[in-house]
Amino acid sequence: MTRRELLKDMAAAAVVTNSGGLTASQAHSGISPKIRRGVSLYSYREEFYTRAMTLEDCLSEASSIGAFGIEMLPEENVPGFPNISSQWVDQWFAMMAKYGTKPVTYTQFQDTFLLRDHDFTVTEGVQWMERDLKLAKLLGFRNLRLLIGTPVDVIERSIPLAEKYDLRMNVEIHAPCPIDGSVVERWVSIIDKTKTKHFGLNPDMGLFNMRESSADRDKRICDGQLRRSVAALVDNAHASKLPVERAIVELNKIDATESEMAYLQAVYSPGGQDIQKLKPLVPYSHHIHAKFYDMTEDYQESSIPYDQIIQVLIEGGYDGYMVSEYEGQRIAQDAFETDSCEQVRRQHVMLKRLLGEV
Amino acid sequence: MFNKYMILTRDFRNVGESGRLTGFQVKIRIPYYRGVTLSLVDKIDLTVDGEAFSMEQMTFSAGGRTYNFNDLAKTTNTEWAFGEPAILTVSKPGGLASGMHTVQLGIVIRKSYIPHSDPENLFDFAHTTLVPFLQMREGATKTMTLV
Repeated sequence: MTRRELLKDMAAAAVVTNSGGLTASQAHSGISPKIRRGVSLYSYREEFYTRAMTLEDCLSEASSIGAFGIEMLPEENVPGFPNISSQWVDQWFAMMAKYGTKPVTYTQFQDTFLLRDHDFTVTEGVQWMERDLKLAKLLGFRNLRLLIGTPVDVIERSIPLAEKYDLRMNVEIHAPCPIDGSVVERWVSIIDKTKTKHFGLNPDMGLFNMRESSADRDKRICDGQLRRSVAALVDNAHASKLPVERAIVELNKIDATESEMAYLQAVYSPGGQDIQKLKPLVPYSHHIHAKFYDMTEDYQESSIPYDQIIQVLIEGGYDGYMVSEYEGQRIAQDAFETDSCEQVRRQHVMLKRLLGEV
Repeated sequence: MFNKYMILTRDFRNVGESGRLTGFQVKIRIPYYRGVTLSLVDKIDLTVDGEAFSMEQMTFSAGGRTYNFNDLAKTTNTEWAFGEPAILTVSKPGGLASGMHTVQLGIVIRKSYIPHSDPENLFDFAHTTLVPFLQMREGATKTMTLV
């Protein structure tokens, strides 16, 4: 069975999270010129890995959907990295010109455990960071995405280098990090104390993953862990806000298995954090990862409430890119085929609507 | 991640010198969403038809160069590129018999998401939830024919 057939069979499930209330664009009438759309080429990684798409194909695709801001993991897409040839750099800028795309964020990996015999000292860590600052500059990027676990002393010591190369280092706030937790407070205090413009935040919207995605659900079904009828019952119960105790009673009535109960728990135990807590961080944020798992055929993301998120970003005055980060193929592998381009396209239909571009 | 793509069928073959078979080769791809510096390739295990081969019995070839695992651990200026096949050359006098073989592969990449040293306890949220998943062995099994 294809996934499309599976979804048709599940029509009764009607998974919709973005129901009720005004959309951000309705609430704020008019477009949001400060929030621009982009894509992290990470979204197309499976096609790139299997060589179904080249880097140029990825850029052409991003351009064709108006996602002009490019984030790239150089360790995915740049041949010979970290030894980048000058011919390749020329090709890179030629492609940017051809497709009207713009290098926005270079996804940096602070490989603190690079060496077998010891973890990076602060000095070694700063040297590694400078390597990437230079390469990001060479490729015309404006921002460096920092891994959440980049040691704080390495960040502090690298700020003068970021200023020298005029690049912004933005540390990614990624689930399961509490958005109001001590590490975020620490980063904010560094920005406040130094008043630097070259260090900021890069929140990942997976922080607001409010329920297990429909991709996870479909994988459970394909793996034989979940009957379609039970999935539909759970999805409907959750969508109609049936209390979890009553949903459990309903599942017991139909002799649900342990793994089906696990699905109910996953749907009812969201890891998503309070979206309002993003608001005070917006002025510190230079880049946003528009993480998503599964865009349905009616252009809804099944687990992340983008209408509420974009409202908070607009209210907070966010000025920067939102780039797609498609994560669904990671869930789906071996269960069903995914089409990264189609998935990203669907997300951009949603983003255009929420940003008032249509 | 990408486990289903880790083991390649193409170029699965015996190797030898001066008419004698000394071992076999299998092409592999990285089970991660980026290429990594060679020193971060932490462990590779390989079992063929139940016979396990240690890292000492293998060499790893990437980007046109061949490394033993001691050299690999020290190589910090070259990457195993994303999606790019590397060649494992495995020592086995006489090689593998012609026919069907079940190849099991495991790879551990050292990932630096959360620092080991956390004097300010900034990463308390990660130690139980995230860290156990970071040094995970990614595994795959494939049955394929050697001619």
